[in-house]
Amino acid sequence: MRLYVTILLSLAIGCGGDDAKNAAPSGDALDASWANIVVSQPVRFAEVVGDERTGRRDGWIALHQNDFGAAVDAFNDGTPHGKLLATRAAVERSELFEDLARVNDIAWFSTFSTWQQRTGIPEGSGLPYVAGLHALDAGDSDAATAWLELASNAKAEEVRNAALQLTERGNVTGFSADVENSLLRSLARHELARQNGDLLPILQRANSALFSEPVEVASDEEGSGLPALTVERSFFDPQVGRTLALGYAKNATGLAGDASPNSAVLNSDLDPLAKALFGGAPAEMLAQIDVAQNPTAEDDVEWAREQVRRLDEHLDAWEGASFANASDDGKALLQDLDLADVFRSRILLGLAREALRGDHPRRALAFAQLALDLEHPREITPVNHPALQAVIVEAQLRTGHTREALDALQVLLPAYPVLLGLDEVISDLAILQNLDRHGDSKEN
Amino acid sequence: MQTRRISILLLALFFSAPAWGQALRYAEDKAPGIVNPVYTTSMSEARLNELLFEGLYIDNTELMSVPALAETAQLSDDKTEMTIRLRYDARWHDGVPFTSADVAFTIEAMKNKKSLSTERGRVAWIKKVEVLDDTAIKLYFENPEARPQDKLMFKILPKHRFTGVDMKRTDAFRTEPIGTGPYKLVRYNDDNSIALEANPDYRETVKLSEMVMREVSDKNYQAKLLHYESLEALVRVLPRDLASLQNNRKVELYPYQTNSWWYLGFNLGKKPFDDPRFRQAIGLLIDQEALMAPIGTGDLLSGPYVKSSPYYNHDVPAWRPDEFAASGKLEELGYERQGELWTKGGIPLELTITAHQSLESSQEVVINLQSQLQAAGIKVNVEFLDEASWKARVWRERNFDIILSQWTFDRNEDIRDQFHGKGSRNFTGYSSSRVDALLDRARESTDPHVKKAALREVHAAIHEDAPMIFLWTLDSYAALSTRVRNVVVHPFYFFTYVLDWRMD
Repeated sequence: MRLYVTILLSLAIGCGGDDAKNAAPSGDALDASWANIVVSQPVRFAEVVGDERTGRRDGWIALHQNDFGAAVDAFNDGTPHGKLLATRAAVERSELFEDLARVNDIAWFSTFSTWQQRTGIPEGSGLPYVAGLHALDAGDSDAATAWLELASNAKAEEVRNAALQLTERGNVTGFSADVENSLLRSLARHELARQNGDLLPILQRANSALFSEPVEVASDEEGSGLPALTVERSFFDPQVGRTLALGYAKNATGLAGDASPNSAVLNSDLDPLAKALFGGAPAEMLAQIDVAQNPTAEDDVEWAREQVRRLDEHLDAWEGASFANASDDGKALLQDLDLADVFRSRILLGLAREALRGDHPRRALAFAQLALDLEHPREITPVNHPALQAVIVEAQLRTGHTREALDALQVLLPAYPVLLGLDEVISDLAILQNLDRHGDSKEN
Repeated sequence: MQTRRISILLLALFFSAPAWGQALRYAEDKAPGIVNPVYTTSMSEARLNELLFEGLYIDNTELMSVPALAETAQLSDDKTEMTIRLRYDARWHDGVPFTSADVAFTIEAMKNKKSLSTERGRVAWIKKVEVLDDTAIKLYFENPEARPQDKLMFKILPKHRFTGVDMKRTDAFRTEPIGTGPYKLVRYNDDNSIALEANPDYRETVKLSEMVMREVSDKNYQAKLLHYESLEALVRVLPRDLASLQNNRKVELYPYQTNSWWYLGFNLGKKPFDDPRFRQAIGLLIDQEALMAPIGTGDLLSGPYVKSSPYYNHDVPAWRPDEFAASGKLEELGYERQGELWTKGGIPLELTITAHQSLESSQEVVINLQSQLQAAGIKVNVEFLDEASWKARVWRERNFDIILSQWTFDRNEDIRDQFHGKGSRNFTGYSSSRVDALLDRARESTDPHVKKAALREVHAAIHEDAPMIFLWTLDSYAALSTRVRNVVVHPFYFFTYVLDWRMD
């Protein structure tokens, strides 16, 4: 039977085989990419990025290095084009914080529900208030009601009062910034920041606990003999993630003067290279190289890896051809700016985000991990876009690999210390999920 | 036309090969010293065990416990007893049926103090085992257990291959192991490689028909073998090799999270290492960044956790070279500088650094460390031990001055065995009642904030007491040929999901 099939297939190849389909890619399909334009038109690139005398150049350097805040500040020289470029950088930042806001929601929901299931809520704790606040902020009023009712048992009067007020109000807005209750003042701060995009009051407090409560662990002299222990149970502000996402989005629309800052940039008279530089590849280009077309319905990691292999074949061909044909300036740009790897990384970031939106976290994880430059795995670099780590955190959380999510978050913390609260809550989740496990350790 | 001829030939070759097949050859820095899960101490042993043996439960790809040799289980209302119905269709590699007697035997052998099992702690929570019938067993717990299945992943051994529960490391089983797992060990080769074949009686299809573990102690050489396709997998790649492997389109890198750190461990049972000031002085004489540089990138550490750990205390900085401060401590201890050397009573300060000869890059690190300490006026001898000598001198006899080694932890990051006064892996002999109390409190607590607070305090205390100088953690990546498909790597045991792997 096998021989029969072999002969049939061989005949099929012999009669109808198309050698062109099996030919190695030439890289031509990527000619229209921004990366190719930079390499083949270095003069145009120089015009777009400007020279050392302009803030615009600093803006491009910052954008290349994925330092979006610095890019926004450097680009925003008050000129119309400067504002548009600042908008581009602001959109990148806003998208990153949207990714992180999603992570925030997953983490907070999962942690508190797991805490309740695994051990029950500590008696008198303000934890239900934080859980209720998060649920209300996320639009889950049923969960919020249930949690805030439990918060009425909190020992701290301020927590009980805030829970009562939230329950009565039914939403997180409309609180005054002048009230005595610090938890309600916090709500007012967030509302204002979301309205006007001024995030400084939020950023200043993001690394401090929303509130803390002492935990007295009694001694067990008659049993295990353990002495008493006093610790502080600190809860960070669950609203921070959403406020930053909304606030940075507000900044982007403010700069654009348009409700859709992306459209504002795309429809502007900016040089098309300036619109595309250090971005990904358009869908038509990916279709041309048959990457990420017809995805499987399952969350198939192997499919994702296959797409990356195919992309690499085309990129390798393009890079080889570009280097061979480019001028000295073009070659220098290709190497100094790591253009092939940056381009690759942005494409894979786009595919990773799409996979998450399509509820394929394993696929997203594969795309994001394969995008990283492993010479600097723990750093944000031109290749290692911070959103790759945000995708990894989300994908790991959604696939039960909570402890591994913390590894990815650790990469972001130095540049985004505002994520400390998120780190602590994911830590809590990792601990709760592994409470009953027996630790294993080995040498080497 | 030429292409068509080649197509036909290739097709013919392809279809003449078995549907699944080809050996997956993977490298270990050192071959497992013993193939008996009751005595497992190294990661290479743990990885091999994962191929040969099974536990009652296993992690699925979402790290939830699912039945393996267990089929169903019922937990009593008070959570102190669990009745487990076992698989009836599992067989040992020699064809003998797996039964509840094997489970009872394994637990009793591990608990038996005469066995000297390194894994005894994994069954300490089980008070009693009762065999109900050939496929049912009842476990009685010391304390109520909310999710006992999470702790029932230790590997089960065949009762019929041992003479009793007084197990010994030297039992013949160590070289003739049999399990119920997807692979059987068929051959030890002269070059220290181990050949495994798919278990034909395994209940699921085993797609990779053969596995070969090759001992390749040189990490550089491991990477070259993968480049030249003489291996299909490296379980851990050094950071300095990542870039070249990443550029090889026939290789894919798989990050996996192991909480592992390198350290210098002092023998607190010997002078002058019994004095924390001496140990702190050593910490102040070492340039950890310079030591790490030849290996590649990583994170310097100040305590017994990696930086992403919930328990890492970020307020505690890593030791930084400070020769002035180090000198102060040595002088407090009665040492004085005579010429180039530190001396006491006229005798030069001299110590020996011991490392396992197969620890990746240990030679470079030890030689550099020797240079640093000698430049600071200490005479340093170095020695590299093979596996047997390491187990004897370090694990059993505690016969060393300073060791350079590495610990790897699963996601629980339970350091109790290494630092508690009663810890079974407390090589340094460290003892602190405060740390013991904190470790015990952390273990008992179900409140993540209490655990974090207690263990962050442990981090700070251990850093200060310095029974070890914590060096660094390195990123863990496995590298596999692109011919190996459907790869998912377990963050600790690596091969847990090997049944899904296949070779093109």
